[in-house]
Amino acid sequence: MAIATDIEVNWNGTVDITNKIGLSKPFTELASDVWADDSAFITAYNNPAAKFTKVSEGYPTCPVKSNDCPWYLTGGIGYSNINHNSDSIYLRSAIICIPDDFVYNTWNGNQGGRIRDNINNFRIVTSMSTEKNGVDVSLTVQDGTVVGAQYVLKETLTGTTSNGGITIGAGTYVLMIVDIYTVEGNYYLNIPYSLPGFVYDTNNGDGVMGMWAYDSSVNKMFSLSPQIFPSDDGRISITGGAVYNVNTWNRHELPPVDGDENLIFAASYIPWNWYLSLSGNVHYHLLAVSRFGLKFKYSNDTYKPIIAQGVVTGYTTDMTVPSDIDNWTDISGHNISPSPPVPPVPGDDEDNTDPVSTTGAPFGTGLAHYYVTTVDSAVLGQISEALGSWDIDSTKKDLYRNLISCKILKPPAGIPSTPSVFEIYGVKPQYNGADITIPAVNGNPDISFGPYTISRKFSDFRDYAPYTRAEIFLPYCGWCALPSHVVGRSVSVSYFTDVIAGTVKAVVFCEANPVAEAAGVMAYDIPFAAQNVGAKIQAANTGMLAYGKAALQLSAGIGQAVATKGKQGLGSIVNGAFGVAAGYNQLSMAANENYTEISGKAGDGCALAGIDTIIIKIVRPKYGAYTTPPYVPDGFAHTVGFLSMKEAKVSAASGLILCDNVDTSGIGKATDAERAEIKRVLETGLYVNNPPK
Amino acid sequence: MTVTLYNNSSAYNTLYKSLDKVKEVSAEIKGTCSVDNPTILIDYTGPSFNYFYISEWERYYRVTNRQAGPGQTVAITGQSDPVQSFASGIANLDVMIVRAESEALRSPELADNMIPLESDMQIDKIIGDNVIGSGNGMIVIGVI
Repeated sequence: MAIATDIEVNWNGTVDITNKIGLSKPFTELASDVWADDSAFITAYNNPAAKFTKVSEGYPTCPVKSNDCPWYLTGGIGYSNINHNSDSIYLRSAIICIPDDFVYNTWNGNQGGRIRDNINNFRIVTSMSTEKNGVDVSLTVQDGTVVGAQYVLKETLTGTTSNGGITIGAGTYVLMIVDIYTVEGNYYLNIPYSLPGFVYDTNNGDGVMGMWAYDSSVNKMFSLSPQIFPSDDGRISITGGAVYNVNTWNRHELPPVDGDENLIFAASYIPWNWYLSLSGNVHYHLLAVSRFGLKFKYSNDTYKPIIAQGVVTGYTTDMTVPSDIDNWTDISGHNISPSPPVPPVPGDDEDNTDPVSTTGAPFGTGLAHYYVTTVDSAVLGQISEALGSWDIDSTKKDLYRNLISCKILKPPAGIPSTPSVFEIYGVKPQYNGADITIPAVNGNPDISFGPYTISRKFSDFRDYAPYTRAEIFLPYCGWCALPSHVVGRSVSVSYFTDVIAGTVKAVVFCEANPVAEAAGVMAYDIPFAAQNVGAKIQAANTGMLAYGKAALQLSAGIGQAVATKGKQGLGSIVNGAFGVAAGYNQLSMAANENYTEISGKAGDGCALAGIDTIIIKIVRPKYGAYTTPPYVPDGFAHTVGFLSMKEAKVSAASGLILCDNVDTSGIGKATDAERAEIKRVLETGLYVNNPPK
Repeated sequence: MTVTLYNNSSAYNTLYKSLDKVKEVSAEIKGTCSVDNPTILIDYTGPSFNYFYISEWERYYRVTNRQAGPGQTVAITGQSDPVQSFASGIANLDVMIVRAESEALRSPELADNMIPLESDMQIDKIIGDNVIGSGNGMIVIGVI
């Protein structure tokens, strides 16, 4: 399926949009009075059929603007033309204007509210088709006003209906193109870093329940259909998408025309802690255009479209899979993709997204051979008995002298091995007259874990150092501090092991960048001969005096093991080794210079005890007193204001502003005293009623 | 001169105040006065007001004093409100906005020392994958 992801916008064209998306006037001429009258809105809401006519193609036609037609602008809003009887679904377009100051009124309790006031501040054009063609929408903007739009039909999509809605089968995709236009002075790009998608509901009538977009950068949700969320959830909802047979309280069905069902969804909003779902504007771009290829959300999974050279080749739940969607930019060059590349790490260059090469520990047996088996395997007893019964006198070979190491370890992944026959010093000692089979090690097990997404909490500066810090616990290695830029991103951990030495190294990556590294020990040696025992004890006594207790434990265990050397020697040594585990683990931990940090005793005995999972700990400023974003005291924004440091016209503001060093020379008729007063007010706090009352 | 009387329900430092028109009346200047603090005489009975506009001067005023004279004559003293008088000019000013109520103008990534921060910390935890499996582990034997 080929779907172009690039929507060309001709900013100087003059395509007439009348009767195409239900608009016959520029937005700016509509903005001041649309939905300004409550009674008119309610009247229209209760009788939407009277406000619309429909042309044969299914495009909504907006009636001529008049005072009794507050739905004038909604010709495109939520107007879904669904023909479920012919396996088709058309959502030709929707233009949605959303206010930036979020003046919402709840209306009739749970019936939600609707958007009003200043509605010219957002424009979203959606277009969708499943049967006919994918649709791209182009808008034409002149002097900051949308004056035209046109469709470009794309590749055929398919869909089947079921129970009145569409069923999206495997391999069937519906792509919705959403354009968000921002125009200088009036319009803002709202969700540049969002994860738009659909919810497909299998429980309530097989329908696409809606469209949503989540802006992870500001931790806000925005949706285009209310049914996505329970009514008590209350995220903002703005008109329906391709929805049918979904029992929403703000759905209105128009009389069927030509067999088509027609639905209108009112905008709705119920206060919720993501209440500024459409706000944010943290990525304010002038004259910016963004494009989103939306993806379906099947139940609990979110699918990212895999797009290459304009072609959707599939969908994935792995958000790290590369896609053109990662690199969409607006016309000002800002990356506005739902999953933008990682910002440069301090000290790194622009190529920081290039994968960092890694290599595992060398594995070479050389003269030695290494065999692996489980601790409780019977083969250990077989080897022990075979070696114990070996006839040294006649063979002149003491096979025990050719045992060079014996380790217990718990590697993070299975040890690569191949079946083989136990062989030592060129001899294959037998057990009960047969060769002893045991896997031979042929490599080191390396493995990666994650990714783990470290979410932002505040969606502001408090998510980073020094206010928020992150640490990761790496089993075998201890605690590592993570740089603050991992917040809001994903980290993964790669473990590299050395089976022969029993060591492990963990490398933490933040997406493509290595951010921490730590080493540890994942094994301990089991003494199996007197000279080895002596060496271990000497090391413990000379280098680890602080761990005298551990050494004593070790000695006790070794003594037991040595005492039983003989026919059952090796098996007893293995068992005895469990008794010395704690001691050796402490020795191993103390001897390891590569620990970056060890907190308390959390990493002790990591080979056999302690925390066995990766833990990421994010320590944030306590926010319990403020339960909803933006986690500030009530009235903070209105009385203190948020830090802005942006240059703008006063008219772009709404509510309180405090300005710096105001130049009032542009106010021609004012006296010097009046200018001074204006300057004082602007610098000490001005409340802007926007739009003017 | 023509004076329009209003009731203003907005704070002084409000651009585009909420004004409810009360009445339009004729007025005379009392003596000599400044444009900033005029005293005008009007013949008026009716609802109270706290704000007025002198069209000839293109300025809005807050009522700061009101004195009854003979008959229905009322002397009104006003204080110029340049924020309202030059609202359109102010709206068009290009300014560096330091703080703003609107989310649209917020720069959330800038450290804002006005936001109260508790010294106490909250710990969020992500439990990742199991690295050290259960069981007794493996034995690796090296021989030559």
